[in-house]
Amino acid sequence: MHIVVCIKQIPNPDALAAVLRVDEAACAVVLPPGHPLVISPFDEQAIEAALRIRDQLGPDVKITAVTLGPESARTALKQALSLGADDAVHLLDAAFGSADSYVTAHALAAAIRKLGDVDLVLAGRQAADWDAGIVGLGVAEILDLPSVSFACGIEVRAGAILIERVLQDGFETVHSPLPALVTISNELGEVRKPSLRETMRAARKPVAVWSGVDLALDARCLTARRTLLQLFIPPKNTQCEMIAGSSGNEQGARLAQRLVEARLA
Amino acid sequence: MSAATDVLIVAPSVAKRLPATVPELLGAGLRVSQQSGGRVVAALLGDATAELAEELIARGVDRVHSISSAQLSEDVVEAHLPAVLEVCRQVKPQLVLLTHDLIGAELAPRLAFRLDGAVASGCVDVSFAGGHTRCTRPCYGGIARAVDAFALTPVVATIRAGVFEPAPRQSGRQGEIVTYVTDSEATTRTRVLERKLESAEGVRLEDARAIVAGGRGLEGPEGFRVLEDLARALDAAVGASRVPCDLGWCPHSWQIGLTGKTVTPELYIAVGISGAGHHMAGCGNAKAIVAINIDPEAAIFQDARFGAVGDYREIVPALAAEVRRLKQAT
Repeated sequence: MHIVVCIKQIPNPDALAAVLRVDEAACAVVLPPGHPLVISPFDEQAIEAALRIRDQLGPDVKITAVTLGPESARTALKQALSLGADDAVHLLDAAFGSADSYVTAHALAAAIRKLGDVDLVLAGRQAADWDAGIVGLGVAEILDLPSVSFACGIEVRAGAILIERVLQDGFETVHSPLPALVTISNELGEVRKPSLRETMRAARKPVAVWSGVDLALDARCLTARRTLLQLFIPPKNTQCEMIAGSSGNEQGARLAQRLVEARLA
Repeated sequence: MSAATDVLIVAPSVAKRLPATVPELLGAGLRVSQQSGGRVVAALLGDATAELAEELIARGVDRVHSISSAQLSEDVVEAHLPAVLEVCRQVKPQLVLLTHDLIGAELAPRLAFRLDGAVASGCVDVSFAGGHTRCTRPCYGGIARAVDAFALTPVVATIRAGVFEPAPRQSGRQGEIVTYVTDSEATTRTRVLERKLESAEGVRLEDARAIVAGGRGLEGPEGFRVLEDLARALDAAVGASRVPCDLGWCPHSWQIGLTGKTVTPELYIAVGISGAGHHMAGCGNAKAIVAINIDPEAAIFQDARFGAVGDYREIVPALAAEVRRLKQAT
């Protein structure tokens, strides 16, 4: 069984609010020098989902990590290899510099076609930078694969998959034939850490680099459909009425009185 | 170039009712249609009735394409795609609007790629000016907002709940209703085997006038018992930020935020929630936010109308007791 995991390298989203600034003229985020780049957490969970399938089925499961991104994204692929991926493919091209979700989905779909014998494509439910959740489903549409989104568990059974999926008020189990595309949600749970042995092995594993020409992408597929017109941080309200008191009991009682006065309670 | 100007609203009926988000989609759609000079058309999916089609017309729709099939009423995402595609081929819309929920979030990208259009997800604003559709959406975990412009059609956009005013009913509006019955079963490859729904006690989060929500600062599942008591006093629902859900302190269905539910209550009491953009994306449109947090530097105070710094174990029970006392006094 061959699983492709689509991953994206993004600025570490933890505690980003304190450091993220926006250059409104350039429509770009500005981060302090040295702010770490990581695999988007939902994509990390997609890698974990692939590893759990290998735990279930054994070593015949081959896992290929694919990313589209600048030179730095090689680190994300190395990390995927150290987590246990067998192969890594870096889609790298100056023409991808302005890629939106349309271009990215076409490039990833072309890469999956080029890989050939793919049974299952996994991706995070959304990348934690643009939070769009478009690319994975776009890949499914381009490759005409059935898709199931917001999965929190996958089990391979008799050449098909059973997907546990998060609903607004519960869970459902969905059956899909293979090949298929599944997007993974945070409810999948804890991810494993890279082992020292795998990290050493990963250092020696090669990373394939494919360009737009290698993927035979035409100009149309390389043309972004989205124009980013504006990027801004919405202004915050600083008019918070702080409820003081000599004890928590007093604060609680005063807060109740203010809420009733404001007709909120 | 096509001169597409119509706005198509995708309205799935749930248990023979329109979800509360559909009038909001119409609110968004009517505004865009005034800017683009087009009409508002609706795709009514599922176990639709004539009353639902009439309601859409009363709220501003000019033509309703009503499509029923057993698969549609079962919320099978894959079954919705051919139905909406069929309507799109007839209407040739400039803009397709869906609710940003489990169905909309999966349907929108597939629809956009199939129609060779563009897609914007989780929008909080949408407009049309100078031949461009503009979509504003939260990004970077809700910290920032991006305004995307699209020159081509159709643009498929999902709209977050609670940001648009619902389109009001007007008496005496006339509109056209086209009905079809489809059998999409032949085209669906995925099928739902089992559904386990968590029975919500009391008020549903999405419908609640008041919500009491807990975060990491509760320090354990027992904190939610304290919140539940306050919720009873306020006739409120109980919610949570992502961390307590991921840690198993409360059900996943309680999650409010970018990857959970979007809520718009009158009163939102955030207890032990730091106020990360990820969470605020789900509750930032509440009319009044009250923050109770041990950390005076917590970002949540910048979004709050009232704040109290201290131990929630003391503040929350006192707040619940005083609310009960004041309510009895009136």
